[in-house]
Amino acid sequence: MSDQPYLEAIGVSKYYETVAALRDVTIRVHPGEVVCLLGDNGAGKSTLIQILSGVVQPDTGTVRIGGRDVRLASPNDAMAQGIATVFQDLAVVPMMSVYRNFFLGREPSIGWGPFQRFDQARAMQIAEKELADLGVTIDDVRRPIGTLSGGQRQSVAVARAVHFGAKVLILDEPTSALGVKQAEMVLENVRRARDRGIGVVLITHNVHHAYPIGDTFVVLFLGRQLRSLKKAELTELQLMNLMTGRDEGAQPSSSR
Amino acid sequence: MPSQSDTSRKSSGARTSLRALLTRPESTAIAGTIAVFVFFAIFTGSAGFLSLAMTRNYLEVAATIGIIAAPITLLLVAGEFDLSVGSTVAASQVLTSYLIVHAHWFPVFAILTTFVVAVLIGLGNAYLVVKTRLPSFIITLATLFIVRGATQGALRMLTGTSIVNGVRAAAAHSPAVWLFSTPVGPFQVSLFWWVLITALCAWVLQKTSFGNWILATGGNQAAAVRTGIPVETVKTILFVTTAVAAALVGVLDIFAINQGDANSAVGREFEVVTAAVIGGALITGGYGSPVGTFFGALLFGMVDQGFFFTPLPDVWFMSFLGIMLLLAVLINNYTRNLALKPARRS
Repeated sequence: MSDQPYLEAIGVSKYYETVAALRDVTIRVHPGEVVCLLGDNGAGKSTLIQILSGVVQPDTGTVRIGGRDVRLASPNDAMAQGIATVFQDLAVVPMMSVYRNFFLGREPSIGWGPFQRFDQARAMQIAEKELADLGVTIDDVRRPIGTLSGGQRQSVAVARAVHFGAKVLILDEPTSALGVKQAEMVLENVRRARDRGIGVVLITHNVHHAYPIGDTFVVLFLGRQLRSLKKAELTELQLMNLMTGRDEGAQPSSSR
Repeated sequence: MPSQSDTSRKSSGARTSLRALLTRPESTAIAGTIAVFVFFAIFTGSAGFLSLAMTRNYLEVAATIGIIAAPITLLLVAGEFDLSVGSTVAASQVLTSYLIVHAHWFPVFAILTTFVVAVLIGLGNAYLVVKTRLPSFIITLATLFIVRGATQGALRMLTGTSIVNGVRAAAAHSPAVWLFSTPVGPFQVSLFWWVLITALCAWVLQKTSFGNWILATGGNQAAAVRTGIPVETVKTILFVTTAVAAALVGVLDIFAINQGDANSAVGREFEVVTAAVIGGALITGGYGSPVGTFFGALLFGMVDQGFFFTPLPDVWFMSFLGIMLLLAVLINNYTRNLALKPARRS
């Protein structure tokens, strides 16, 4: 983990009509760091990731990438800056094969002029390698992606983002719909991505998934930031209490 | 342990490829074509089904369907529909033959003009579908009527009839028409256009990046948009290609039957969709095979022509075709579900 954060959102707020969906929230993601974003429904998690992934722009506050102020005007803009978001619906085409999904919209080509074609051999080879690197085993990348388990599909989406140069990976509730074994597989992908120096923002409301893997924990409550804590500063039980609002100190932290 | 996992991987790989073969979208159409051929060969072979003339006939019928059905398959895979192709065939017949016979244009310019008009029809369909986001079924149903009516109305206004005769004589000695009128050996030239266009569509769908975009556009449009695929451009290109293929059939027709007819190709829109669906295409998009469609069209041609030799009165043809379609759809549905079923795992 390096000292310079790759992605920062500093004091960002977002209002819809007169309601603050997010108020004065700060989050920093360093290379090789797993930041867990926790909070109940309506806490502002999705608004924050929409800001980080360029879907919406903050009304106040700034977003910085590599220390420079930026304006992420669109998801493509964010993607070009190395911010990759894996949404819950994963943006995959169920009837298409794994490797075709892997390269969807960014197909490697071979040949010349009008005979230019999709380099399927290379696409399969790269997809297989990238999946193996993340510890994903899929017997045949030509299999329709819809035939994979939820965890495997999630893994393919992560591997795709990593392959296309993600510096920060935002995962929106990657484990929420999964069984224990599948969730563990996805968390293992996250660990491997982190070990490769990728910063990860993990959105979840499952403390058991978040605590073992997270380095930093940002807890949101009704659009405000309750806490931003390093792992050394709290136990799993404290984190759980914080999330459910049972903690004594469950007030907006003053030390952002 | 590694050896065990290796063998299990290998055997499951073999199982996958066997299943992949059986569940390919075109397998039903190929099996159906063979079955129909054998059926007619056994029961009507002596009556002439196996003769060269007969073979030429059903290949000709199949080609006029298949030339349009191949791009229609791509359009279906992209999740759209085009009901205006029959009208476009008639409009192209009438436009080309009128320009050659009555306006005395050089055939090459008449044919080029027809293709330009087809491009405009395709662009019109695409523009309306993309901008309104209404189902293409409705939009192209409207253009079906508009184009058909305009073809009949314009020709009636200009000549007082609905048919233009004498195309071959008027176009004789024009070097441009050999592409559309010269028989190759014992067969009509349309057969070669059909094979060529099928090969091209299959190649585009399976081997190019654009093919990947077509599959994604119909398979999950939201995902396609999110990964940066220009879905509106994909659809526009396919609507235009389909209209141009319909125009090609119109041009081939006028040399094959020596006339342009404003009332021709009625119902062609359903024949081409029938071929595509027998060939494994999913009407809701994301799945289909131009090769399967090729065999769907071939099967259609054989049944259309072979039925004449059966003892049944030919008025039963439609019912027979309907049963074939229903059977094919049921089998395709079953194999597709098998192909898309999650693999069994621990």
